[in-house]
Amino acid sequence: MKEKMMPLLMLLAMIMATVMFYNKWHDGHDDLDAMQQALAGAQRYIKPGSSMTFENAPIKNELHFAARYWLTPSYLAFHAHTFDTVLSVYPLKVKDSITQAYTTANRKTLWQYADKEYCYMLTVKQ
Amino acid sequence: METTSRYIIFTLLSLAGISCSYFLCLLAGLPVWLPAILSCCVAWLLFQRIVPDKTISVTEPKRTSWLALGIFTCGIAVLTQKAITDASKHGLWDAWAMWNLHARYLTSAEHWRNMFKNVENEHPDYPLGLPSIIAFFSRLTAGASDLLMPFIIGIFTTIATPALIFSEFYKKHLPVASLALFLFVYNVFYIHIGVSQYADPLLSLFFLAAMVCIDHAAEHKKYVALSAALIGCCIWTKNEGMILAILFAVFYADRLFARRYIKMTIAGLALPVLAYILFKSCVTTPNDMISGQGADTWTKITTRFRYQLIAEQFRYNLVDNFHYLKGAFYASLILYVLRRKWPHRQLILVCVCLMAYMLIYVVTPHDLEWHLKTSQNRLMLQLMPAFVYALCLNYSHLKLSGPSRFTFTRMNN
Repeated sequence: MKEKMMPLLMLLAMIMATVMFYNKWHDGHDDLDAMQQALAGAQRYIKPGSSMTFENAPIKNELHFAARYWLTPSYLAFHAHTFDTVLSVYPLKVKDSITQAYTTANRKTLWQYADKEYCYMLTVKQ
Repeated sequence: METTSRYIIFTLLSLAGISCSYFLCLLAGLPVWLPAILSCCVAWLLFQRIVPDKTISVTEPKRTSWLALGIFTCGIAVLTQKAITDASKHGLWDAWAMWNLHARYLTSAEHWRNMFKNVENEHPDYPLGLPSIIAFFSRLTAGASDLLMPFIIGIFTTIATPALIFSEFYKKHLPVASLALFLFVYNVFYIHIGVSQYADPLLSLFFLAAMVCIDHAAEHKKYVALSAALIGCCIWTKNEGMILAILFAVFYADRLFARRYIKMTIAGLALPVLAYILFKSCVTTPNDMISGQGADTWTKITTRFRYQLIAEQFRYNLVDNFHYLKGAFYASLILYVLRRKWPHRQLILVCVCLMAYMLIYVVTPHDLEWHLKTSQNRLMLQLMPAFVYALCLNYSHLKLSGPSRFTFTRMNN
């Protein structure tokens, strides 16, 4: 009987840990969740498995990683202008100049969103 | 083999079975219910083969004491509490940016191959042992387990690793088993990486379990098959697993490739190695470590500074994360000298694996300092459980036979 107590104790520990982890995080948010919240609106314009370009300035790999994570199974080429659709993430302070640049570059904005730090834009070549 | 060890190995191999069957079904374009049924069948077969103890003991088996159970309970409780405090929602950087990302791709039956396009700042050539398990449960639960599954696997490996070592030694030498358990419980780095959702803890557990199984080969030949399967899982979990598997096969060639065991070895290796080969045939991106080799490789090999840097970082990691192991290792060597015995094969194997890992850094195509700082501690952690197990093998022969006198018993190995 005592022999089987150890696996049972392990199982109990795992169940308790999982419940506590769930309680700790199901309502909690971290940096990655901010990106998920931001990109939630863009998802209806992005067909699963589609390919697009991701760009940002100043270049931050972390943003590309986070966008790629939430937009799976789509493919986000990093600063490679090979696709018509572009997902751009820029600091809020440059929002107006970026919008202006896209207008002159003849790009149509499909969706845009801004949070406390960044503005997000999904544009397509016209 | 102890009951707890058998349950841990059964769970590990069931997870590996899920991983391999899910990936193979995904590759063949089969629906998700098929790997679900296959996994249930594999798990049932494994349960029948692994969990019931059919070995005949010539001596009266020792019973589990309440003291051992109490120590185990305390250890696991403290470990779990610390793990929960340390666990982050999506895991550490590499966890969500690589392992969990791959898992997310694998949940898409139609577009999972898009994963291989991610060649910028990514490693699509990393084996899919861990992502396949997460993806399988994610699809089965329609995404409801996305947050929990990586954590569950992490907490399982964090708990199961010290539990496996404790289980193997508590009847032979309770103080040694308890010390080993609390080495894990009070190792902040071990717990931190344990719940990081990386693949390293899983790899380390596969390696440790393979070592435990092969040590029980004399009890029953099924343990050779289990050991081979676990070493195959090392390959299917991380690229480094290939190094561990090759060295393990070399060190245990006498058992794995013995005429009476060879069929068992092949049977054990078949599924994970098949999954690995098929996966590698899909990957178009070569491994960065291999493709990065060129004309400067020889210059790197002959540059003394690179060895010094590796040794310096190794010392730093040893002091920072595994300081207790240094003393335990030297004490163990003294014991071997006093006994006039060669170190156990397990200890030599771990040391050779460590050297092989360090030699890879010599020829790394990446910036050496960056590479060392970002990965050396994790590579050391991959070998740490097996190292503790090997040390326990040595110390468990140490018997306290009087109030202040140590005697040395004859070793079986």
